[in-house]
Amino acid sequence: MPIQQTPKFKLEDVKRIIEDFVKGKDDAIFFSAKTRSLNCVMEVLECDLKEAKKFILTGMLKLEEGDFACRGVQWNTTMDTYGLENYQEHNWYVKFSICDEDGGYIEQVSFHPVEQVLRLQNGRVLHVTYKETKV
Amino acid sequence: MKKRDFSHAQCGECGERQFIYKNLKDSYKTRWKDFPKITISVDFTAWECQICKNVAFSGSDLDSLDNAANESIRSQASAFIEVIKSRSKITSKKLSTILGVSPEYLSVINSKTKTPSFQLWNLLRVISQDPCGMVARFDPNESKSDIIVSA
Repeated sequence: MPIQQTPKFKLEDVKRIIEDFVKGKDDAIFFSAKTRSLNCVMEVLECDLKEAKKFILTGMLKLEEGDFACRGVQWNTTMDTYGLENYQEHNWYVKFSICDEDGGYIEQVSFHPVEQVLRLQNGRVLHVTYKETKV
Repeated sequence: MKKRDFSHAQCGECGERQFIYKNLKDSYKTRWKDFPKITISVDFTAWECQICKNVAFSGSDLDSLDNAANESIRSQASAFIEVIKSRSKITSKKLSTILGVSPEYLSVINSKTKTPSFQLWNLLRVISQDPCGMVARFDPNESKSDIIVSA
């Protein structure tokens, strides 16, 4: 995935969409890879889907510009990657894109514990804090 | 409110854009809470990638999945109890002793009022696969002649 140093999507747009979602616009977020987002959160926190969803949304609302790691292209779609440090005792890898169609929605691709060292644009380095225990 | 059409959204697993909204009853397996894998055995609709079979979710689909998972576990636990009781002729009281729960709690599980823990659900599942043998194994005081095998 080619790397660029600035995000494609404005965090304010991301947060606006999440707030719409929280207010009841259920289709403002599309969890397109449950195995790399909701399932990981359920495993780490031993929680149900509702709690995992809330955890992901709250985590995304915590993102700041300094948490940006890289912009890349995957399957011809530009995606922004961020790192979330020490959130519920772990470092998290967050990747998403925004589809402009019909008012815009977030395609949530990844939200899981950092699997390898993740360098953020602000110089911080997020280390692996969670080892998967179940096969 | 009109539901958004995600049929051309990008699959997070294979990158293709061929989702279809379908009922995944009896075909969708998922981790849920501390259940490593459960099969959703009630009506439940979500977006399935026609290429890689990845299942993706909007917010309302997720809420439905939570409800469907709960309902499936309750139904399955109740069905396990019925199988155990009908095949081994064990009483509810004796089964509850073997399971280490109160008869009242077993009754609540049987009536699908509460969702059992994974441990209890799994124990019921295992016993239901061989009710007579497992009941005898879990209850060594049980005389095998007391257990009536039904075909």
